[in-house]
Amino acid sequence: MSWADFIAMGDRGFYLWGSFAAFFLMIVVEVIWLRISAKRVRNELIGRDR
Amino acid sequence: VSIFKYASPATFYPLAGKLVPWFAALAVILGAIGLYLGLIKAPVDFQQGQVYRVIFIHVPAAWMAMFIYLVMAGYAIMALAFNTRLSAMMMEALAPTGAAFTALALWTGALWGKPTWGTYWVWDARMTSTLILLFLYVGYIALNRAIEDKKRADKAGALLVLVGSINVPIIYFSVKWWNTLHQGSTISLTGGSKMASDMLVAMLIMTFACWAYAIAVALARVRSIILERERSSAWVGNVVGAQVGVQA
Repeated sequence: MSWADFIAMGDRGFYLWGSFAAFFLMIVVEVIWLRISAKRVRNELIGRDR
Repeated sequence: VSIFKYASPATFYPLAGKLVPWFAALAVILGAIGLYLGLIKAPVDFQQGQVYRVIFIHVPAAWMAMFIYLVMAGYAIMALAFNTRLSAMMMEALAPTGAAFTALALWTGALWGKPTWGTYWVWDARMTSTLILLFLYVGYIALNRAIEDKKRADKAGALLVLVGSINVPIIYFSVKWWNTLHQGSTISLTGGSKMASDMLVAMLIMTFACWAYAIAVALARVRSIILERERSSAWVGNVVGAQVGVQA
């Protein structure tokens, strides 16, 4: 299978890659959100202790 | 060593911290293998063509959506029966990931449905009950945040999760109980699999990857929840002090 065929996925690329894009977007958003909330909690607690 | 000692937030916090990188690494490794097998090695489906490969995300996401809710229901029982603080914290940590997997199952299902059934959405029993599951997750998150008194919020949330758990068997059996556009189960606990082994292996590996991912993010999230909720405890002060010391 060529690279172009792989991307096209038998003319169903929009549906297939739309699904995989949502999957990776979910992971990226959740991991970034986790890091932001962990930082916020830690900063709040550090600020309280000072 | 009794495992019950980890029911305390103070002892669970460091354990969760140690487990997060292991489960995250497992999720990355399994995810890479699963995607390679699913997108490259698995053969083309003779009926649906290439678009069937959506199952390598859609099915694990749908399973995780139901499984996480059942795990939350288990924690809800423990929270109500034994009044364990960590159970309520775990429910709170799991809910956003469960909601994300449910939304992903609906989204990928719609993108799979258009080329195979000719429509993104119909109000059939499987899809409608999955949409209700998403509302249950969002409702739990909203309820938990709306009530300021955390003890009351935990109880109300646990009750909502328990009542809502009746929806999970409805989702699972909907394709048997009603005439739905959604296809019947390709894999069942009792009847085995109707899939080709290459496809099945890829799908199961992706499921384990999603499972490891959900554990990693839930444990990471519960650490923040523990710190926030136990902020008046002396051990939290020590943890924060140690972190500031490391930074300095």
